[in-house]
Amino acid sequence: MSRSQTFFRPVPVDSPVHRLAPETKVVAGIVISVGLVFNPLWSHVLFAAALVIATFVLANLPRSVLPKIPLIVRFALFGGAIGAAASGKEPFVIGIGVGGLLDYARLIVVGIVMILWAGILSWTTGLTAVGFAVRRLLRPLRHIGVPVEEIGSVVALAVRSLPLVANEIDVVNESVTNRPSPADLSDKPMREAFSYIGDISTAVIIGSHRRARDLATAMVSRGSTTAPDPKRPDFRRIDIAVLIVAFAMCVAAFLVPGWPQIGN
Amino acid sequence: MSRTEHTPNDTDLDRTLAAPKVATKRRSEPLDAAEVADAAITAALVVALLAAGRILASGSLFQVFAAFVVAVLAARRRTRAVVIATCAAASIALILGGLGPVSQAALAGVFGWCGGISLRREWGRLRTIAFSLLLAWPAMSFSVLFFYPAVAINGKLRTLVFENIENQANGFGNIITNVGSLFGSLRLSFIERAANWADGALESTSSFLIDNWLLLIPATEFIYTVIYALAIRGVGGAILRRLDKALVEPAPLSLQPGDHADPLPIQIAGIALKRNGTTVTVPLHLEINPGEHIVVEGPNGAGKSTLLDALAGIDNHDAVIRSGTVGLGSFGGTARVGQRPEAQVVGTTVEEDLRWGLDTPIDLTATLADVGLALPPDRPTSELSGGELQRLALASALRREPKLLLADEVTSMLDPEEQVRITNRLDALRDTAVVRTTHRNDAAATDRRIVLTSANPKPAVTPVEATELRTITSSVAESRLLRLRDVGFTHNPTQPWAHEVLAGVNLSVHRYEMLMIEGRNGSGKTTLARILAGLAKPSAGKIEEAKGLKRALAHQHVRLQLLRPTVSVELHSLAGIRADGKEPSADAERHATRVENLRTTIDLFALQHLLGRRIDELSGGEQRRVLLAGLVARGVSLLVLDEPLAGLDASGRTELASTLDRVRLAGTSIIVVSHDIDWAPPHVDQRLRLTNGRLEELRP
Repeated sequence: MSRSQTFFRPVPVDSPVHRLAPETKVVAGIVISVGLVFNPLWSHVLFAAALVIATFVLANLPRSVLPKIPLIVRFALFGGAIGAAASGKEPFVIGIGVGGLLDYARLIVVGIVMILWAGILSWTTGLTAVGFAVRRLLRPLRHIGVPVEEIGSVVALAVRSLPLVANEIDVVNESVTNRPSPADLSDKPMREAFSYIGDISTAVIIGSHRRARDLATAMVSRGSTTAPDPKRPDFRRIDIAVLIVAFAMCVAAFLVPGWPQIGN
Repeated sequence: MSRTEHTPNDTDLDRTLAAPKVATKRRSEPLDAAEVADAAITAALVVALLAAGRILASGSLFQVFAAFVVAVLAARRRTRAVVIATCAAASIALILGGLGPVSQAALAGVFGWCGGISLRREWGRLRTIAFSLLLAWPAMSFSVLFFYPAVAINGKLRTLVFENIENQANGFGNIITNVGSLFGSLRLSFIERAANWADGALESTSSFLIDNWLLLIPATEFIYTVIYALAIRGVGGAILRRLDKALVEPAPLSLQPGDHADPLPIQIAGIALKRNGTTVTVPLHLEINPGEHIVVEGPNGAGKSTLLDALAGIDNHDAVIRSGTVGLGSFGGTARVGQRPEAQVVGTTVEEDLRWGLDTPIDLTATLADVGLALPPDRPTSELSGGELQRLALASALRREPKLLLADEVTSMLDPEEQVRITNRLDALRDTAVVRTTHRNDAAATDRRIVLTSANPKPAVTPVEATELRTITSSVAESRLLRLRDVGFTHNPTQPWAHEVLAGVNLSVHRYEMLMIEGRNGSGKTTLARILAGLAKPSAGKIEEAKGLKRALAHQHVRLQLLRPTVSVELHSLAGIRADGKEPSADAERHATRVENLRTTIDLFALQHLLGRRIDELSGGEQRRVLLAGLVARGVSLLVLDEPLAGLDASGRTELASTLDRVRLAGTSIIVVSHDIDWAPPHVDQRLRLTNGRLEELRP
């Protein structure tokens, strides 16, 4: 089973978050991220973190969906924390400067909030539905000449090909790791390694282009390049409420001074 | 019954193949179906590569791969397709990972496009770099500076990031000076001085970075631009040449207008077949009138599928004369069902697949029952068997009530009873002209038969003598290679998707044996295949393994496992020997055995005449033969084949059977895992069936 696949799969449970329209979740996530990136003060960061965690709990998702953090990333995070702690920046708590650690924590929390929102989206919605949601969201842009239908079809098709493509990358990766490196079997290891990179990409690209050709022929045989629209999700009061909260947070990030103020 | 025969004459039309690779289309024209599909797969690849790069340590290499993928698209398709693919990849990345991956997708898109254009124009190194610097460099610098609103417009996130950099520098500087002064107190003052110097260097570097960020971003982008331009120019050209060799041409493929479709009568005069880079013309003259039923017979490669594609208006446009429009895929027009079942599916669920391209409401149960299927509408199409897929595709063709139905081997994966039923169903169509190909002798008396003879007689694969095999099977020693005891497997045991795939599986494999494990899709057979090949660990039970046993898995898509460009280099790489023929200084003896081993394997698999060929010029069957030979030469004594039957026709299966016999002659045991329950290779010692994670033996 592909390592990359679990991230893209919805969890088969029911919850208020599952029942939200996919559009609501996509828009809310983007709006909240924009607010956070614009003004990452502790007050805003903590509020966003609380909101995302509340959503996670509401979504009835078990904690086990969270992916394991690779060892190398854990080391990097830990190393960063040591550096930040040793900086001895104010404010002081029992004579130790914790300012560096606080700055560090804030940056990490901003990152976690964004990744967790993407996770909640994919665990409660499923990628195919997200693809359709993007297509519907983009539609108004056609009035200003953006080729929305084309982008929408491409997004929807790309999203459904994603698991297969990820699986193919895993297969190639596996056959690369299971054979001796050609650089060890040559007098010109650099040149050999370079052409090996080309070989590996070719294996992936040829497979996917064959798939693309089959897909094109199949679509032409059915007379359409666009997937039939699924039933439009119902917009309910809860969707509007979620969007109001998200937009309010974004606006607050721009207008409310927040705490603590940092330089610039 | 009328019967006509057609033999091809060799006319070299190579020049027509050398036509410009990129379809000459106007820039603002909407994407055609082929461009949409290429753009979608490219976007999916970019996202998947960026995602893989986030998980694996060698992340930046995956970013370069993503740029290669876009470069290939840009070299073969219009800029419009590249822009749309990049937009699509960026929006998926935005949803899955926030703003960071978006900029990576944009980077792959911009650098890939510049590199692809240079590849298409066949520019030299300097010109490629100059072009990238002119367009990609300012674009990327601008986007990093201004796309991240946080970096340029608003200073707050920037301040936070910079403060963190400063803190890290100060922190590690403090640690270093403290350690240094410790050494200083031990009178090792030179270490103390070095530590103080390092501290100073760290702090001045960080303040240099922070003070000059406005200049440093363009400077790093400059370096990136040059690196990407050189990498794409160096590697991309080779990828493109191999794509051409693999005959994946960027042919245009447009949707056909569906209004007032009137495909009949139709006349066809000679079809052009492309074989190994040359074109062969089959002098065929044929007229089809409404309601006529035509059966096309002939061996593989005789042009049956090309004939149907010509009638469908997606190939050989010049050879066809028709008065009206084809209306492929539209209601009351032309319907086409191609040969390989997996390649006919467009929808992710049964319902979506049937509704694809049809505006009218549809009675799912009746449409499915028409072809003898009873499937829930939300069943994922990825779980269907070959036979079910064929009937699903046929159902959506019949649902269009076509005037012309083109059916290419649509019963090849069905059991005999169901074949008769479907053939009768097609014969009963009165208002529809049916053209179908078959390799069985099942034409009805009223059908018109057309026989095509082979355009390129394949070199016959010498079958392995039955007596040779008998000596081997009779000498089956009680030497067990692998034993599974009560093996179970649970996917993602700690995660909510946890489900038990295998339970209580007991299995023994002996030397020289060939086992066949059948099971429907979703029965856990891929997991079992991975466990048998040693690529996955079972979550329950025990595995006993013979000492020094080497196992390997051959995937369904063989091409993904063949990495090097030519057969000879690939075989050497798989066997772990230098391809240049030089001996390593150490371990000369082992090297000699390996070389000898490879030589005998090449003879056994009859690969001598293929050694100089490029991998991508080979047929699928030949590619599998190369892979299996390479694995055997590596010393693999238990080979697991996952779904080797998928997409094979009758002659492909015979070829596979012969390859498997060769593997066994080399002394390697085989386990074939397949969802196709209708066919097993000859000489199978044991057939087992996997149902819901449990394995039972089938009595032959």
